[in-house]
Amino acid sequence: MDHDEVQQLLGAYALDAVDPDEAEAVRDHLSSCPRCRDELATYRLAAAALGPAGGDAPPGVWDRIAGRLTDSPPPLRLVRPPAARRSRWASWGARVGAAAAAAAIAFLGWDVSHLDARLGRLQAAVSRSGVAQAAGAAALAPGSRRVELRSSTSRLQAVVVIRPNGQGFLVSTTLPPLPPGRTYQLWGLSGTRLVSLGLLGRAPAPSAFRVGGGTRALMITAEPAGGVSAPDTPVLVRGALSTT
Amino acid sequence: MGLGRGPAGGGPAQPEGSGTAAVKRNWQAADDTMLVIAIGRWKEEALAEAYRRHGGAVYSLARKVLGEQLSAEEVTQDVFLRLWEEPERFDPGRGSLRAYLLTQAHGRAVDRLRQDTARWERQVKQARLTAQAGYDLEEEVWDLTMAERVKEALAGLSDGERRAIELAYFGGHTYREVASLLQEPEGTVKSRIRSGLRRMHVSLVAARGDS
Repeated sequence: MDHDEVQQLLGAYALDAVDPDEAEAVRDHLSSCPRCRDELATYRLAAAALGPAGGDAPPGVWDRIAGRLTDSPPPLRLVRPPAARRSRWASWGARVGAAAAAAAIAFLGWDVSHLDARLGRLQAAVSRSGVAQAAGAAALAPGSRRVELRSSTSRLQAVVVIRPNGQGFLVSTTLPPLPPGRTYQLWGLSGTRLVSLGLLGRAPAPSAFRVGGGTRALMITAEPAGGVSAPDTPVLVRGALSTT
Repeated sequence: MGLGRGPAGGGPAQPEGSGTAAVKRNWQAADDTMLVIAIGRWKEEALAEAYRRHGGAVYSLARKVLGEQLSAEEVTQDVFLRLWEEPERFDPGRGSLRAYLLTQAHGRAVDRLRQDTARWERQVKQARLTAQAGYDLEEEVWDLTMAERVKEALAGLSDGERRAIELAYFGGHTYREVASLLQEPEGTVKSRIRSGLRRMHVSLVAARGDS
């Protein structure tokens, strides 16, 4: 289904009024077409306005919901690099920089909790609106640091601006769009720990994130959509934060 | 630090004191985005507050589409459990939390409806009668709960647009079924739904600007 055909279907799709095969074709197109995503969002808002403005929540349902929340919060996951993957981690280490990688591996794994990935995804979503303007303002603000992240060949680059208060913005990048089902993920090396700073999506747009005080380096990997709690693929670009 | 993460370095969430008056007051003062961020940190009280605010609307919509209580309750439960599991799916840049939850509820209700063939056939039969009689949302009890600006937005649509949207949204019909019910070409129904929604959105945005 081409762009025009999908566009014709967006109204019906917003009302869940298309056949399953059409829905799949629309979803497929949406993953790579921001214009259609925007258009769909306006139709969804209009459709949701048709819904009730209020009403009492049914009694008893909350108890059932609360009863199903027993798994939370999940235990802290310490993900250790398994021996079988040593070569992969070694190559990852070479790209990160020997000292940083040695320190991280000495820590017996990546102290990155499931919570980090969850919050990272959430924060990326929350920050998406108006982020381009904020990133522009940050680039001009006094005291902001500009950090270039590069691949080993410098073919891939990303430029990040960090305000003195730790608010960071991905300003621009040459990272190519990923195939469906993948996302770029941003990481901060803090002390010896690698912390997820959020997901950047398949085709990174200006994004906001927060950098902790002890962050020494930033890096980006390409991971399965939804992100991971510890990087599972080689670092694509990295850059050190000068400590002043 | 509005959108701050967990403790530096990302430690596990701290268990909350359970439901003190102070905590409850805090959640009631929080806006929806802050609630979702708190849900991201596994604060059960924040989910409870989101349910208190929007559970009724979610249930009413599911009930309207499904026509019975038990399935509507199950849909409501699913929608809030999903919010708990994947709060990051809500994008505040794309609209309100209520709109997001209603979108989820609608999708789930329609899925259930289509899985239940017997009920589905009854609905189609009933819709055919209603379509012939001239379906009019203004006559629905539903109308009582609809905001004034939404009624105005609906009134700005052509009859064809409104009928197609109502049959699809409340009846859970695909645009092809709506076309067959209204005995109109599928392409016409498809573009009426789209133009109607676009017009509604413009009108709702304008109404918000006025207020």
